[in-house]
Amino acid sequence: MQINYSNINNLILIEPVGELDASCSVQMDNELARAIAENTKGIVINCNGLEYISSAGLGVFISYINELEQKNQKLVFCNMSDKIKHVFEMVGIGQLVKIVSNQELAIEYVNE
Amino acid sequence: MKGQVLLRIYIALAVLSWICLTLIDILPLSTFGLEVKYTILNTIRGAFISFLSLIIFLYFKYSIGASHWEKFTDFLWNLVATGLLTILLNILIILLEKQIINGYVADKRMLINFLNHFQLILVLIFVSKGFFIWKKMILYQKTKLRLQVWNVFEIIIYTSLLFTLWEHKYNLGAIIFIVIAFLIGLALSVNVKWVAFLNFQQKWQSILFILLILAISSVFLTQILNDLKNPFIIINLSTDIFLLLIFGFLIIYSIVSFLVLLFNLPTSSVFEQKFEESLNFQKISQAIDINKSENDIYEIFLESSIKTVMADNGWIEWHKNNAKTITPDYVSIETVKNANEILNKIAPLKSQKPILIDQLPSKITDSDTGVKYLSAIVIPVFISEKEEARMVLLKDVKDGFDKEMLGIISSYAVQTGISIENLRLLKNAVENERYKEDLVIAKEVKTRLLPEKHISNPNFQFFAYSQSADDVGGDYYDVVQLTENKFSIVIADVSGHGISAAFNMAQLKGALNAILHLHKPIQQIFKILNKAVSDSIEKSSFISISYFEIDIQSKKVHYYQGGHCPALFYNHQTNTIDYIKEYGIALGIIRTDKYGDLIKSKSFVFDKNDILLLYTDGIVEAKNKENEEFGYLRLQQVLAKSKALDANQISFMIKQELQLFTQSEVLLDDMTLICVKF
Repeated sequence: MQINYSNINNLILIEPVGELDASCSVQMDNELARAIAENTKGIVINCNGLEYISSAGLGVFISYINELEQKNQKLVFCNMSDKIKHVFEMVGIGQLVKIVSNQELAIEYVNE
Repeated sequence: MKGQVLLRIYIALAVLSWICLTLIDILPLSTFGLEVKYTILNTIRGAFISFLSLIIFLYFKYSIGASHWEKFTDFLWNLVATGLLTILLNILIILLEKQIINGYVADKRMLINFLNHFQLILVLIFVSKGFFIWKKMILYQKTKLRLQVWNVFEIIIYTSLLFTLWEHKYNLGAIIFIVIAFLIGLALSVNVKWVAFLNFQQKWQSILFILLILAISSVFLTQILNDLKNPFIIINLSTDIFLLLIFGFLIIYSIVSFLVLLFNLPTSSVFEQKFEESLNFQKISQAIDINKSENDIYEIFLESSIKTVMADNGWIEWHKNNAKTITPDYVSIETVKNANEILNKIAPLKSQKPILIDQLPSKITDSDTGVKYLSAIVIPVFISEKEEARMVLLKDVKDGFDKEMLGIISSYAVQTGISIENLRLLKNAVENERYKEDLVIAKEVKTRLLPEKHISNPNFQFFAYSQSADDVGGDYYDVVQLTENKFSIVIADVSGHGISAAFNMAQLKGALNAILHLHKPIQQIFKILNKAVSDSIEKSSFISISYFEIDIQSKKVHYYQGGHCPALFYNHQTNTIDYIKEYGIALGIIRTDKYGDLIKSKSFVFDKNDILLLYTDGIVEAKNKENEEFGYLRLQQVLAKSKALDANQISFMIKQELQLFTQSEVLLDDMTLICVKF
């Protein structure tokens, strides 16, 4: 799986492309850890290219929720497909992380 | 047993013929004096001597042939012991005879001859035993040819017994016969292979034994010659070709063995060295034991190497769990650093080849003892074609090592590499076996955690179907009767596969069983469950779970869907099928007390013929050949088609539709389906 990582104006933009399953979860884990270590205002995950996410993939995000809260870093998802959005809602993460429709709104949210 | 009987027969025959012989010789000399014709007497005497010789000969042929001694020196010692005994007795008899001659005894002649007959037996015993012990030595690691030659030789010896039948002259025939026998005996005498297998000490022992045997033989021979001059003695052994041939053979082989032993003494240490080297190879290859570590193999390699080349110091540098290690661990790091500084100039770290350094450019100092080393050997060890270790051997003299040593140590290194590779493979194989066993155990555990599929109850039908993709799946379900009128149904999906998922599920069941019977409200149940689960599952795991509590009396269902697929409900009265879209939060996502505040249970009423369908995502996410998912819509449609059937039939219909859709026998995910019909 390909993960695009960039630092824009003191926030991290992560764009996963493809299927986030158990075998790729380690990769995502590394990128998130890297992002958190940069101590920016927040992290934006653009899910435009994300076709599928498994429970292992969800688990990666879940494991960092606490840490992000403690470090006062925001986490926001954008450009989610309906399917992925449904998965997030069903598992209940939808209530814990911010989901917006596009990247501009996401960046706005982080900079608030 | 048969052997014992045979030996006893031989002894009996020997005694018998000896008695006859003695009688024949003695009686005429006694005062009774029998006048018998001389020539016939000689022939009869000769016959008995031949017969006696043959019997004693055969006795030892059998008894030595059947014996198994461990060492060659045992054979020699046996002969020496027998020889010493017989020669001692012989000397005693000689002294006795002297006494008789010088004394005033009547019938001197009779007595002396009587004693002489004993001497005959002593000689026969010694030579016969010697003959067959030499046979064992010569036929050690025999070839077919050698065995055949020996058999011819033995036949010649038997044939020589015929000469004893009459007093013959040494005519041409006899001499040719003797020469042929002599030549064959000589040809056989060059077989001294057994000498090579003796160590230094044993060689010295053998030299001593053989010298003793030669001495004893010469004493016997001297005695035989002396007897010829003795007027009293009747038996004339000078024409006994049988005896002379055997004596000759005994002496020749003794001399040959003696010389070979003597000349092999200086080179004896080389043989022992070679032997040790092959033992070392064996040791290294046998170190492949599941209880040994790579360190153990390196230690054996180092020990063997130091001993073989007599190095003054040495060590092996290798990687243990990605850390540089030195074996043995009492070698100081200073010394190794010191050495590496100097060695790396000549033998850079990944040199790939064994290197011999006759004189180091600068001396390597041992930081513990202060010794200065002048020559070195550096050997890399390759495991699966990668250089993983390096051995350094040092000596405090110049030119301490030679090419031979380098060669042998290189061979050790190759064997070490192979042994370690095999050890790793063995450990891997054992790990895999263990893993497979773990899976089997986990499957057992899972089977015991899940209740029977079919629950019979007058108030509702319950049917569950569960299948896992591999041996151990992460789906869980249970139905528990809380009170007379209350039932709870649980369905859960532990994220992940394999053993960790199975154990997380076991933990869930344990916590659930403990909590359910406390009859707490749903919010409390989930709060407690979340705490229990949060503490025990992995950081990135979570458990999606749906919980439905059926109250028969009030015809109400209280529920909470914690991150699980929305249940499907068919309302018979309104004839509608809808997903219960109340979404909660799965267990393990919020691991603080905040979770409890976010839980809110819901409820709905049910009536006869209503259907509640619970399932896991394996059902809706099942893919067909075009990578299309089964989906929520299709599930709804199948339920619509089968709503009039019983719970088990509905489940069967859904299962069938799935199989048709995916068109495969193989499941890619775990699937669980629970159908409740009221």
